[in-house]
Amino acid sequence: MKTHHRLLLLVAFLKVSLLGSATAQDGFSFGYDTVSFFEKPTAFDVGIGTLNTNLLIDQSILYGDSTDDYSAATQFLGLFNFGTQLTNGWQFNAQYLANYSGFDDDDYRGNLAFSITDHWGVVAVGQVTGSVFEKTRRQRGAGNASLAFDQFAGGLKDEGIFYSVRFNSYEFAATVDREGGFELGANFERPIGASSYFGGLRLRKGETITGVGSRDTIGGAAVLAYTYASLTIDTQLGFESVGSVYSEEIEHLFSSLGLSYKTGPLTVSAEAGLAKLADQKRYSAAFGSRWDLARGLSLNFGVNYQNTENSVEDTVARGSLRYEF
Amino acid sequence: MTKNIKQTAALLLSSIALFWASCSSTITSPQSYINGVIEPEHLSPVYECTDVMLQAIRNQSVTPPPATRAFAMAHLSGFLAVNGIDQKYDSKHEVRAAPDNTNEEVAYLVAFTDSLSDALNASFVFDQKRMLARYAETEAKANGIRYGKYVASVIISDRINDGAEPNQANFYLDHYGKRSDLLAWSPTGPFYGAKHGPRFGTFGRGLFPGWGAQKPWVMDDKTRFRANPFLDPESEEFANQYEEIKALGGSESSTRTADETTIAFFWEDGPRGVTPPGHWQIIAMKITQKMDLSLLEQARLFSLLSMAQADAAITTWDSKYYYDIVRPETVIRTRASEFGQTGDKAWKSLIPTPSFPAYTSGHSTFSGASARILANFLGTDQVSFSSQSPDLVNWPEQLTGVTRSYTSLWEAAEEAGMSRIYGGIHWQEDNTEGLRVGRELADFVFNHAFRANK
Repeated sequence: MKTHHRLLLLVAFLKVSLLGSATAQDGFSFGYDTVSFFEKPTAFDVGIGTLNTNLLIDQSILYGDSTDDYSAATQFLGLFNFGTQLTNGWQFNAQYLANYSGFDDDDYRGNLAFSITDHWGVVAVGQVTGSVFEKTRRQRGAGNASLAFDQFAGGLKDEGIFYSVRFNSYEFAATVDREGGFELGANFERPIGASSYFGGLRLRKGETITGVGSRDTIGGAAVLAYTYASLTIDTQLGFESVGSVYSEEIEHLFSSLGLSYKTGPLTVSAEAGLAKLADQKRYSAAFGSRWDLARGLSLNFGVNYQNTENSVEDTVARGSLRYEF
Repeated sequence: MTKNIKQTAALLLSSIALFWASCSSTITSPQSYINGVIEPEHLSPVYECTDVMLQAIRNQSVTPPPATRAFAMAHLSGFLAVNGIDQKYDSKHEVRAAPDNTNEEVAYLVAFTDSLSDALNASFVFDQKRMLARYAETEAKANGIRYGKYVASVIISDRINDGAEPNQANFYLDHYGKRSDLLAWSPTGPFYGAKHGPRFGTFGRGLFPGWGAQKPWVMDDKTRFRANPFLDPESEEFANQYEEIKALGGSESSTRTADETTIAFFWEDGPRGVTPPGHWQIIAMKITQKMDLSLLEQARLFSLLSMAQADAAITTWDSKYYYDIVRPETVIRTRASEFGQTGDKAWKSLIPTPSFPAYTSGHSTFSGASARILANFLGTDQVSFSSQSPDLVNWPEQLTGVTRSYTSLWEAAEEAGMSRIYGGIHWQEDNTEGLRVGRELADFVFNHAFRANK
């Protein structure tokens, strides 16, 4: 990226940051009316159902410590949902998620899913295999925080089927991908006294691709979260066995601890992770913040650090301006 | 690998089994809403089912409008199942009579939980099994199960496409026009001045804009109780209400007393809680437990209460989007000069301003309707009682150890309504009109639903 372009982006970013601080001090006097006009036309009745649209546009500036270079990238997410109630009372939804990311050579992906919901649960088909993880994961860091090494090495194929059912405070979920990989999960969430508690468990049989071919994996992870008012503390502990046709199985352990807090327009988070893959130790940390500037408009920041023993050490800082509705 | 699979699976399955074993919070559990409220000798299927329902509302963070729909579906089904055996009251729902030798408690439990499952898209099969296990395996029990399922199916079918599902979308959907004058509502942010409160998503869209277009429960016309037009913004009365909310409702208010600050938190009942209508269900259980009511009468009371609350949600949301009235924080911060008032750009409400129009107040309408239904049923409004916040989790520092006492039901309703003024999120007009509508709606429900058969 040319230097003057970088400077222009940096100046624009700082300008918005300063504007955000000023308006925040003035009591959020701008923004509600001026940026909420998008909302109404993005949902409307279509025959017997409702079509909703949610959009997210994010313009980022990144600085990589290992490359000592700035770059800029645009991300766009569009969620289009058609929902209706069938004559027997079932809720039917068709969803398309359009995801464009300028981070990876202008990558575009589209995810399509169909679901039926009733008191016996949700059945979904399509690109839905990430759903168990979403129901049992640790809370995401604020802003652009992204903690490395906090997940199984083995993944699932995107396409598959998904089922979940709720029994009061408990939710159970399962997904199977088109090649027989699966993930089972359970979560529990409810207030107890003056605090709120969350527990999540998941078991995944997946596959990881390495330089010498694919390896089967099997692992389990547990998450616990404690929330008191606007403060959340959560932790994850996971174990995974990575198979190999050439050598002994490899053991993968990962753990993390996070804290997040929201006050007024500011959300901050700090997380740290420690993992071990075979004999290699991995360390990670992430700090994130989100400052709500106006309705749907936010300034996001993240510093993400990762260190692989005897190999890679890198820190990436990412600031972005995001608009979503 | 096989050994690892077994170890991992065993860990997961044993943890799930542990969860499963503690699936329901019974009256002896600290998580039960009737623990400490209902004395064990007064426990009944109505109270126990209501407790299961309120826990589910809290656990799923259900907002007030869909919560009232769930209350109405479950309690109406339960009542009709018992009434189908006793045949004492009429109903607009055509439900065939129960067969002879039907256990009414079993019929009630099954009708209630099946309807609740449908309303909340959740399974209560384990709660149902736990409660049914107390009854011997007899023909009466079998008949009760069959009849309860039948009654639930009637109510579930009746509410398919009642207008509730499409309104899960938090948009305008063109059910109502948008006003364009000074009073027009603008979406607000979830920022508030009190410390250590609940965490909200950053910006919510207008909540349930089509809820007022839903099929009513007892009202013959969903606009029958639409509020009177809002104040003239140039009137002295509006000016007075502007000064009142600006002085009383700000987070840094020096006018609001400590007791009034506590009241603002006490009636919030969300976002993680039983909701304001749920708070009144707990009050109803507390004050009726020693009345020695039959199952039929208990079921009738809670069905009337729930249908009044559900119709209150419909008529309130109809008024909210029909009139589309701005919230106080928007006027105080950004439009004061247009109203000829002195503004304050740094003003923050004490509690979060909800993301929907102001007029009328849901809390006031729910509370007015609930207090009046209870007074009608009991034959008097003069009931003394005390109450604690059902959910400390939202404002733990402000609510722990707080007990409030009342000498009448209407006193509690008025306090609930005023809590929104002390919190800085409603005009006084939203409150007084909401209380009036709630009271009149409750009278209509009480006089039109479930008349005694001659």
